[in-house]
Amino acid sequence: MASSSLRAIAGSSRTVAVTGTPSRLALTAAAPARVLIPSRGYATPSPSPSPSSSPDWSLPEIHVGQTHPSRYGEHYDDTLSSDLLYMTYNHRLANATPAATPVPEPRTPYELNRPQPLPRGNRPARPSAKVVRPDTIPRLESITIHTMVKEAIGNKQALLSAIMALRAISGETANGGGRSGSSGVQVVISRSGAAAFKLRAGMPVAAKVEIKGPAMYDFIQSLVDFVLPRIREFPGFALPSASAAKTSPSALGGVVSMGLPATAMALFPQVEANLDAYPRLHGFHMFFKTDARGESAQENARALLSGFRIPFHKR
Amino acid sequence: MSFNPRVLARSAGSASRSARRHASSSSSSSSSSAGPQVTASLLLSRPPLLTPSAHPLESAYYAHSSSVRSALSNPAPTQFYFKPGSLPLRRFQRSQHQHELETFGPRLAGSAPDVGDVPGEAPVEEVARDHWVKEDSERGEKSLERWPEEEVYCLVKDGKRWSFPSTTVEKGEGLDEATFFLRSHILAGEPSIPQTAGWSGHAWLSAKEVEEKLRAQGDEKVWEAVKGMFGVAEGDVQA
Repeated sequence: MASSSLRAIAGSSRTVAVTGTPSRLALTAAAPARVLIPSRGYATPSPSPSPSSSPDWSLPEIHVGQTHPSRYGEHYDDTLSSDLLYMTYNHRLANATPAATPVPEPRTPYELNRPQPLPRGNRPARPSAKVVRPDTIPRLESITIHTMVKEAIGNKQALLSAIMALRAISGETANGGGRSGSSGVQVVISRSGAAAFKLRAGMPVAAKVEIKGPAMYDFIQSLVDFVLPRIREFPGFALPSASAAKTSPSALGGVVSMGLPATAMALFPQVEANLDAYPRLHGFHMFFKTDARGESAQENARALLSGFRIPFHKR
Repeated sequence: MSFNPRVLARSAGSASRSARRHASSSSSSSSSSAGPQVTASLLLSRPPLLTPSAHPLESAYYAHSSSVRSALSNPAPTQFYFKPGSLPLRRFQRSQHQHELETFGPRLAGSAPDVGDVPGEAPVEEVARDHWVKEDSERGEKSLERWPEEEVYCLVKDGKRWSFPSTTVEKGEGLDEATFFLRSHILAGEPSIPQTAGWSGHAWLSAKEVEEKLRAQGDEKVWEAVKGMFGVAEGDVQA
């Protein structure tokens, strides 16, 4: 994996979507009976017709529901969520009243009805604590998988292997399969340069994909049932030390980040099936975003992940 | 079970509150100024062992969604995932065409791909879903393999009466230390009842069986108080 300073520079970057080939069976019998087929040689991937030739029909809204039962999703709904409610309940937080912002007493009549000044300070406001209640149990919102490829700095082709591996692992293409929420694999382009690493602004250096919805649980299933058990001498992901700041943005944000080496990518069954198609495999980071916020949010998020059989260990 | 989502919000809250009320009112009041005796109970459960069996409506919905999704998807890049002319590729092409034929009909599916001779795949050995239940059947209600698709709860027998394993809160223990229903799961092994507990036996029962047992021994009020914990909402009609 690349050095952390290189990643920090390339981290502030913009993304570019990786487009696919046009679909073949668009606008066919799956939709209701009266569907017209456009007279072009191929069908456009996007649902709305282009402004240059706008036919007098519009594609009916096709809702694609769940295509298979979600094992870990059902585990969360049946067992894990109620266990988390008990495990993450904090009696002090539940009974705490939020501190009211002190409004200074108006000393002169001129100060009456003035708009309240913005809060001062050189740090962004901390997210306020979200008390765990039956309707606010921490829930997984999205998973982002990110691979930074150092060899891609002078050579764009080096990213192809990472892009295809992320495509196989996540199963996501941009708006693929009619799911408008899926972003697909995106290429990350550096915004700033670093001469020490021969990096210039505008170079594609990394690939990432964000997974939302039931597909998250499919990814967790591959990770937890196939990859983690087969990593040699895998102790689990490291917990932050007891002396780590409990009020840092990472502790209050409800995001758990972890990484795996290149050998782990080869253990995904989707990649293992045609391992020689990938000239090189890369290590990657995973960011599990939950809706926990505030005090002990990251701990609650880790409790959620450990319920999905992701192990953690003390350093 | 899969079409009966648990309503945690109000049921859980009201269940523990009413269980508390019931516990304090039903147990005998202690002497002097200590007030009603408080009981702490254990809701010990074994989570489901198997994913739930598919309901025909569920299967039909999933099949329909899969068909819509595959119709809206790009063609699979077989040149990347398979070696040209290989057996997995030929199997894949044949199964793709078969699926399109069944879903969209012969006109849209087109002619069958020329895959030549494809040897059959090795048969997958399927174990019956009730295999372990049958193996452990002689233990009856004590078996931990009962109801593999449902969550089963531990009830103990005190003489002739079935109840949740309970203990009284001693003097000096805070109310927030001893929850009224402590929820826990059995991870491995078997429970062993100590001699001092005074219980004659135990059983692993599904939510429906817990209700039947409590009603049979005249504990309808107990069931009404705790049914929220089992995912039964107020006003649910019990089959």
